[in-house]
Amino acid sequence: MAAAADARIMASILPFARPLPMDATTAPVPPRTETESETATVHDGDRWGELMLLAQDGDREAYHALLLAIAPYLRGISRRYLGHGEDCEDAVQDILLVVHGIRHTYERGRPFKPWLATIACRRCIDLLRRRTHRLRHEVDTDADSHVSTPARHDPAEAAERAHAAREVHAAVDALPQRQREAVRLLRLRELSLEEAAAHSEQSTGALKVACHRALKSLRRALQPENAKS
Amino acid sequence: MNDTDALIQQLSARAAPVKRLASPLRRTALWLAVATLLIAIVVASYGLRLAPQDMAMPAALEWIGSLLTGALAAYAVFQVSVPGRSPAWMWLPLPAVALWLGGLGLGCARALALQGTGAFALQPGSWDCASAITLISLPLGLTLLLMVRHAGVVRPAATALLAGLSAAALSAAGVSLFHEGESAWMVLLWHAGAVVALSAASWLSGRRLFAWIGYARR
Repeated sequence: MAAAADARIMASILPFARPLPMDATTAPVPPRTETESETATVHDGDRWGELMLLAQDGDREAYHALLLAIAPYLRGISRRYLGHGEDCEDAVQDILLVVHGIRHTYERGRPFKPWLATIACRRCIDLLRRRTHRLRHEVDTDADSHVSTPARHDPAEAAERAHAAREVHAAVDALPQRQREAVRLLRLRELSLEEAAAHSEQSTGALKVACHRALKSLRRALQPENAKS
Repeated sequence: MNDTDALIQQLSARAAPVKRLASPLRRTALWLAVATLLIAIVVASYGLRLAPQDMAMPAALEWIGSLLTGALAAYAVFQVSVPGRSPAWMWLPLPAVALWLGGLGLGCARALALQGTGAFALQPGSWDCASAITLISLPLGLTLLLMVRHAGVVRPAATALLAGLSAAALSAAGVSLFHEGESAWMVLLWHAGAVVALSAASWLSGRRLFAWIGYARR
């Protein structure tokens, strides 16, 4: 215990001393002045790099501290690409999943921030590309008006049903990826929460939240025009 | 607790130890060893056939060029596929490509001077070497792509292009060892043509391939 306390004192004196995982979560962070911020940014990167090395060796506390510390930085990058809103938070979660998946690619002795920034920027660009694709797909779906007409005996009713199905389909497609996945697994494929979690990268809690948000968005998107105003 | 915090909680609970990537040089050496072994097996099964002119100047230059292209492209793959490393590494194989094409160009010019337009005659069945290059490149290229699965979230297209180039250039060098008596024009057409076609196919399908084998689902 004494050794740990010594190490913590040393870490607070020496900027290059290896921080203990506890420090990152519990130590109070002094407010930064404008002039300090650049140096602090460099130190952030060093500290995150150290935490990542510990995390690669299986240190869960260090990993937790690292992910908590980088989340605001990732949010900043995501906002720059995707603007404010749910898409931005979905992007942060997406980037965190990617960081988790390829954390073995961080190399000892190399700067951490360029590693993280490359992943975050590439992921945001991919999400933007997907958003564009989704919008284009929606237009295509609207053009395919002959799809799924179940009730052949009543053309008017069939057309109405097809129209409603198309609208639901387009609205589900327009949802952010995590929400879309939640709706598809829980509502369309009618899997249980546990089964759905096993099929996706999301936990049961995250799926529940995503599904709830998705249904809210769908309700908003599908209500009649006059009810929206 | 919002769902990002919940996700962080969940991910950190799953922080099993991971094996860090070895240095690009070491990974290149490993892959080249695998590639050499596979190509050596193919060459041994066909039998080494080298005509004297294959070891003379323009042909030897062209062969060394294709070998260097394969090795440098592989090193570039292991550089550009890692987040945070410079994308400028993708230009590394360019001098070797120039050497290779220079050797081929020289060979074509020499053949033209000696034989006239007859140097550009197409022999029947000569496209065999293009299909041999393709068949050897496929397992080599896929192995290389699997070694850099993480590139799907970093630089999928550039990585796939370089991986295709590396696999195809090494295969072309290997095929030269058992396809004797090819004119420089044949080599330019079928070897270089196959390498360009395979690299282009790899580049075009890179994003989709990585989405399938990599970490980032689309």
